[in-house]
Amino acid sequence: MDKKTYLRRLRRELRPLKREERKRQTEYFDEMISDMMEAGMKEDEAIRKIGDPRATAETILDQLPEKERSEKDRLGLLLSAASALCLCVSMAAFVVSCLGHGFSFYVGGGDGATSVFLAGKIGQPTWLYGLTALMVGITLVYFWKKRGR
Amino acid sequence: MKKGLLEFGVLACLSREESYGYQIIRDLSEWIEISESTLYPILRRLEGNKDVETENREYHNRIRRYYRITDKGRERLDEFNRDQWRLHRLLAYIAGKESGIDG
Repeated sequence: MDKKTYLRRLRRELRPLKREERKRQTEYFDEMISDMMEAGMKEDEAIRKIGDPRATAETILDQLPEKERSEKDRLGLLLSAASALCLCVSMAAFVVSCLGHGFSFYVGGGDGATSVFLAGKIGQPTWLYGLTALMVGITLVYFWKKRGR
Repeated sequence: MKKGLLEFGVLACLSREESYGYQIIRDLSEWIEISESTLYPILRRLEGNKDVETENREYHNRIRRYYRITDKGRERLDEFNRDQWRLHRLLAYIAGKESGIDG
């Protein structure tokens, strides 16, 4: 791994932090690696000494004061909102389609043609349910992965 | 406990002269185990407490961040050193060397 790649991976692991803080840390390790190389170490040696980007980031995240963390988890918020929206729309669609089906029973008694016509008109929007399941699934995976750190 | 001592180790290092990341690691490594990643939060904490102040300086076409102990930092270090006898006393207790107990 070269320095640029290392710093890029490190920056990715440091996402929970405020932008300014993340920049400072990247500069710190950039400086450190450069100094180590100036002292005679090879680039990959220096990087190996500092450690895997994830482990390094965890050490820092564990010990840095809370106020350096980014207050908003924007992605998490977006995913949750999108899932909530999909769920609401799905539920509304489901209710409407049920009413539609229920309604068909009262129209013309046992008139098969009418009820089939109505049921067909207000069908189940399976694509919507599929989309909702996908959104909810993605959101759950996102938060599950976050908790795991 | 070592983590608390590390912070004073860094302060002591800077009390001798201003320094920068790599140099601090090099100087302290002789006395205590310290990694590049553990040093960073310590420096941030010291800076946040105003025990240390920092300054960017150009060095060989790149930027180096220098750290310098403040008067407040010096005060804190002095206070720690004044209280060192407590630490020694505790260590003696842990080693079972307080008076009346066989070491």
